[in-house]
Amino acid sequence: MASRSKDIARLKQTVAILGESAQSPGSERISVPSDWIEEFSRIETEEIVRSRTKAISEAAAAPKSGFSILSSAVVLNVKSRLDPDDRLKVEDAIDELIVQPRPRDVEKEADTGSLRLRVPGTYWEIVYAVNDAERQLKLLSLRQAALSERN
Amino acid sequence: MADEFACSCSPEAAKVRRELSRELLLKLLDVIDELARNPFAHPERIRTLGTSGNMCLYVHPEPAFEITYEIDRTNRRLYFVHFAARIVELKRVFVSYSHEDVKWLERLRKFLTPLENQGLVRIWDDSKIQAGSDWQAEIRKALESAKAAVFLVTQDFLNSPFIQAHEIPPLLESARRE
Repeated sequence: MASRSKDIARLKQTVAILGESAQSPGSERISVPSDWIEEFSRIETEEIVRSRTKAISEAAAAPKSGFSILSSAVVLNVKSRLDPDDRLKVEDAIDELIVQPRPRDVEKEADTGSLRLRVPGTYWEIVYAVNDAERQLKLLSLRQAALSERN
Repeated sequence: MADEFACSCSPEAAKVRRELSRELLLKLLDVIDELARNPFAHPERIRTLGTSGNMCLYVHPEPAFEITYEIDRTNRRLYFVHFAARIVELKRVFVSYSHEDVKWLERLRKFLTPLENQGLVRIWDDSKIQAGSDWQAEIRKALESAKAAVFLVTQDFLNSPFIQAHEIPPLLESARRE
């Protein structure tokens, strides 16, 4: 099984290199026999099914210990319009909150008691609440930091 | 707030997510947010796995990737179990024709073969069915995986009960959904 996995990894790498070189400027067109492509696809499908089956079994056996994220419609809408770089930074910040819901630099909003975290490298801040009992983070809003707080 | 689904990720799915290319990751994040809004928004892209009805597989057409997740309808939670991105993306073209028109099929093939050799498409017609196999299942599988279809419309095509009943309806239905 281990050698088969290695073969599949090598095959994937080869296909990826072929694809990249075909797209590079000035490259000549690469022609791959369609039977090969069919075979690559078949092997890849087998590999995906195998890893999916394993992931499902592992998920069934392991407790779901991490925090879940409940995003408000407002947050989902703002996220969908973000610049891609900011979007990825926001997602990274959310991923870190799952591990550590109350990081050192988080601030508490005086009026609502919600937590506010500035997303590093952006002007965005996440406003959220932690529900420890349900192990859930509720993302309430995603907004631009006040001008006075941008530096 | 109550309408959205809460989302979490298995450690394995989180690991795979970190390995995705930037473009693929952005698209995947969009789909995850779409599922969080409404996990039932794209029924044509989702099928259930197993018998419980809670494990779902979402198949994204382009770029090709798959998301496996468990849905807890009562507590409105989605648990992402597995992500997989495809490197080899086959765009199958289903050719629907009457056997009376096989000579037209051969002529069409001459035009499509160069595209096949460039890996751009994979042409499927019923001559691919091997003797002794379950031909109806083979046709059904090909119809389900087709990205495009070519109809060779002739009087014989229009007169074929099999084409009218089993080939055209699923292809039109897929086109309508996409």
